[in-house]
Amino acid sequence: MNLAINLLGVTKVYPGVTALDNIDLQVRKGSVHGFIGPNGAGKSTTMKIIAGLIPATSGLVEVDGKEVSKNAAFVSTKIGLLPEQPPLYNGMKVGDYLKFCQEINWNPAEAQIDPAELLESILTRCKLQDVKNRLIGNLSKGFKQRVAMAQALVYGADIIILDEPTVGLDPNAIADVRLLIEELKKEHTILLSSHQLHEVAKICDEITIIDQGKILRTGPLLTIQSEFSAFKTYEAILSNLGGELKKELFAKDYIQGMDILEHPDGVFLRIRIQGDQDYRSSLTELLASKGNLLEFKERKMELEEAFREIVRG
Amino acid sequence: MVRFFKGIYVLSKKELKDNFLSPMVYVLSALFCVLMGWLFFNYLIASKELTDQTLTQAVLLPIFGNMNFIFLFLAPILTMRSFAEEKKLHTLELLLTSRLSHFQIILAKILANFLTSAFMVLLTIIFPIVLAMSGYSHWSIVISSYAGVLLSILCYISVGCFASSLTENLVVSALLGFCILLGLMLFSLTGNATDNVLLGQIFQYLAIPFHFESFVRGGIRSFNFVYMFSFIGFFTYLTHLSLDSRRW
Repeated sequence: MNLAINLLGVTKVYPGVTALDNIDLQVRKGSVHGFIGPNGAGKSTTMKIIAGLIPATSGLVEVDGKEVSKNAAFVSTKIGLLPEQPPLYNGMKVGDYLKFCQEINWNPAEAQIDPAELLESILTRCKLQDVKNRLIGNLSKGFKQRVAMAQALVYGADIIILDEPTVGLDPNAIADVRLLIEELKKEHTILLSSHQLHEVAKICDEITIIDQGKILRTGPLLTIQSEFSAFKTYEAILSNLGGELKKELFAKDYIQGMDILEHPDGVFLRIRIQGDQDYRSSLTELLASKGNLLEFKERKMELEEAFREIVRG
Repeated sequence: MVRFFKGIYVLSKKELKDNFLSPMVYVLSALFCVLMGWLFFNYLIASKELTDQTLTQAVLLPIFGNMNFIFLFLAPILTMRSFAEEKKLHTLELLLTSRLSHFQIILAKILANFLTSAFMVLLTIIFPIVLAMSGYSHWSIVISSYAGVLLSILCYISVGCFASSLTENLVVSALLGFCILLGLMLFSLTGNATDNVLLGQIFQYLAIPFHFESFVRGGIRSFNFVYMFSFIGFFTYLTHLSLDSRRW
């Protein structure tokens, strides 16, 4: 497999805290890899380790087949990083800022394109031509995010690491950033962390789910989704739920879990089923006979729910 | 090697532009000019009474001494933004993930702040010109005094950059830089307070004013340069350790 990023047995220990615990992560060249997990799961730490900002306590970290710790200059040219907090100089003009970012990262030995030409194409691609002479500090948050993304592209990096690029943006700006990522997909390998799971589902080919420093799932998006589509959820509204019915439901071995919530019409039941067998008829029969069933429907698990299910264990 | 210096050039050019686009440099320059002009005027008037002293002794020596002392306060203010603001705005990550090494980043910051300070010192060139109009011609003393002031400032800036690398807070950075510099100045007083001659000489050697005086008196020794450049190298290394500590 042609890997852009390869992490094997990576552990990062801060005094008293294990931020990453023996994680393996492989990102294929040309793929868009989603990195999802709750706050404090270790996403940003992993991204910083890949970009060479902080070293791993142990384990192997490779970018394009080269070890990060021994090839800092190579990695800095190969990787374009957009950290969670965009690194912008508010007092600089957009064009000057991008030129500066290009100059401090440019490797003339590896460059196959004229830097000025690349800068112009990035300005066009990120739709920044109209604001290139404006101060960054005076731009809207959406534009600032685009400038921050442009700085990761402006020196011709092959691998783009985006740490929550849509956080804090309005829906229009989020759509713009998504379009830009779609555009970048064609030429770059992208590692993207996000809380917007539906965004990840739209953009990514592969995902990795991380929690408390451990990788819970990694692989093609469709595989993980299909793994969890095996978990069906039935939702029912009953006018009452007696103890006998409750006991009977809990006794069913195919019911993996059940949430019982209050509802204006009585009781709301969320029943999680394991396996792909259809239990609708038997369940509706049972609920109708013993609980006065008012409503019943089946819900397929979306990525968001799959994520919650995985994190919940 | 060319790439090393090009990296320093690119970053220091940006830093210098930032410095001169901020009003702080102009405010500090104005204050510095007013203060130095007032002192120069007073020393010049007083020199009329001191008939047994030359213009060098009565005007130039105290003026350069004061200039050096004023920069003890100005240098930490000029350098306070260097790393503290980069940390605060999260732009330090941009520099640390670039092709620039820690030493390139530190040297570029020192160079930009030194050139900004040199601009302020340049404003005092009017003093020797005024003296020249009254027949003053000891230009070698003027040149060595300016060299001494600039080297002292370079030392102060290396301390200021180190202080700035320790914190995100600009005020704390300036105060820290000032405290370190004042502490180093006090070495010479400690030297005077001890009865042990060897210890006294060691303390004196460690204080910047001792070496600065050699420049102003026109008696420059090679150890003055060794001290100044070792001092700058030591604080540059400490700044490198401070930046590297982010990875610990």
